[in-house]
Amino acid sequence: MSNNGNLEAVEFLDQQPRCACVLLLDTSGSMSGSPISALNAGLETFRNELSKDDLAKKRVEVAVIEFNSRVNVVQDFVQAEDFRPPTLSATGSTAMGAGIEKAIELLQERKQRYRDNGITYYRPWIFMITDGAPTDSVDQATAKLHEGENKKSFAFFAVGVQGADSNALKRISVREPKMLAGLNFGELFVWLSTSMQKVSQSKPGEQVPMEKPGWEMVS
Amino acid sequence: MIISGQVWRCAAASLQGSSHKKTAKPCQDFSCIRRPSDAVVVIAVADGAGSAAFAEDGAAIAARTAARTLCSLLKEAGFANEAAPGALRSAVEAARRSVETEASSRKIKSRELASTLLLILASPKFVALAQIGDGAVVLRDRTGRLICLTEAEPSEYINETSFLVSPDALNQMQVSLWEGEVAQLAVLSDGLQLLCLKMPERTPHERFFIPVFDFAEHMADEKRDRDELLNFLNSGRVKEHTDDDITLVLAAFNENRRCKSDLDQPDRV
Repeated sequence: MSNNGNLEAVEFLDQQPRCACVLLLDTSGSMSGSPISALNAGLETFRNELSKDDLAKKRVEVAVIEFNSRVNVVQDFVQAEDFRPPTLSATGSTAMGAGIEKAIELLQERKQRYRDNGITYYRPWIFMITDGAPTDSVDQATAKLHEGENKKSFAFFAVGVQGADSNALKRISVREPKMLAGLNFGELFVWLSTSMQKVSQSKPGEQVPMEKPGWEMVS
Repeated sequence: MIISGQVWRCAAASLQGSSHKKTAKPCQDFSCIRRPSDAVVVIAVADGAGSAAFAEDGAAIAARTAARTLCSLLKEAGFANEAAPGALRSAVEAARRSVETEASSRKIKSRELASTLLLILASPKFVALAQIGDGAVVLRDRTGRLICLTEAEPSEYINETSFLVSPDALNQMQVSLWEGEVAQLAVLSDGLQLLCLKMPERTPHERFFIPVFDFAEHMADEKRDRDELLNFLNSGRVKEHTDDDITLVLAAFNENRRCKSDLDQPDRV
């Protein structure tokens, strides 16, 4: 005989902690054709992979920022389960500095929103994909990136597509930039979604294991 | 004054989270309960660090040493509330030393035995606690008020906390004393916090705690109560919200016949 069945009456709060991820994407002219098609398909893969994980789809929040001659917030933060990937097109130059600064700003606002609403969160990510070199100044962006990494305000990852200036990326990014093999966006986004799932379920003291990227270019 | 016939009824359950099932890690939560006297109960809960190779061992050593040490100190010093904070601090320090000693003897870094530690001493007139890391203590007093005794951690991110073996742990330790008439109390590891404490104020969620404390109030058969608690934690309803290891320890101060056993290691699933 149970104890008055009291435990059956228990109700829970639903306060999922959030894991914010900014996709910062180069949509400059050189990306047109196969690269941008592959990138768009990759975004679909990202969404599909995240949807398969019950907790990640509620906890991960995705924003998309594109940079070419200008910077454009294509998609403000939305829960992974509600993410409808945009179809991006490519044109113009590469305002990477401005793009990075916009990503940092968007994250800061999001974190403030979390704090204002008592929402718990993991350290957010900025994931930049580029096939070129910046055509604007990146001094300020680089300084903000380094400051942010030191303070552990976010984690920034840079991925270079064929033609990307890896030396420029090494100066900008604290973490070593990775180079994509061919146009392997599908595997890249599977890797990213797995990494996001791991972050969103990580426990105190766990270093988020960085999966070995299977999409990386072997030099 | 100890009123004869009043005892603490307890039940404890720890459950491996589905995330640990996936990675074949064991449950890394550990709890133990001691009754050094009729009117007093000591509860220790330790939550092993995810990245520590021997987290479950570290958690067990920390919780057991803390509880055992606290009981001996209290037996010497008496069970008055003024003695409690000092005794709790000493017990936590002893737990830390034990973990470090174990690390030395295994020739590993103490980091590999890292866990949090939450140590509670409850009597009918006060509850004292010492805490390093996360986890929560909530009580219901005799007027029916729900009170959360533990404070939020200073870290920005939900997956960061301090551990017993962290360099600054003893400085970061929170020690508090609540005086009043406690009817029931709950100790929970961080896996359950977001399900029952409204953030950021950490307000106890009534629809969770009232039924849980009503259950605690009617605990009368140790084995049955423990099984029921385990079934509850193991239910799909809990799993929808968390994949972390979870621990829930309940204690209720009731008039009734004496409970003879000293619960040490709760059943694990």
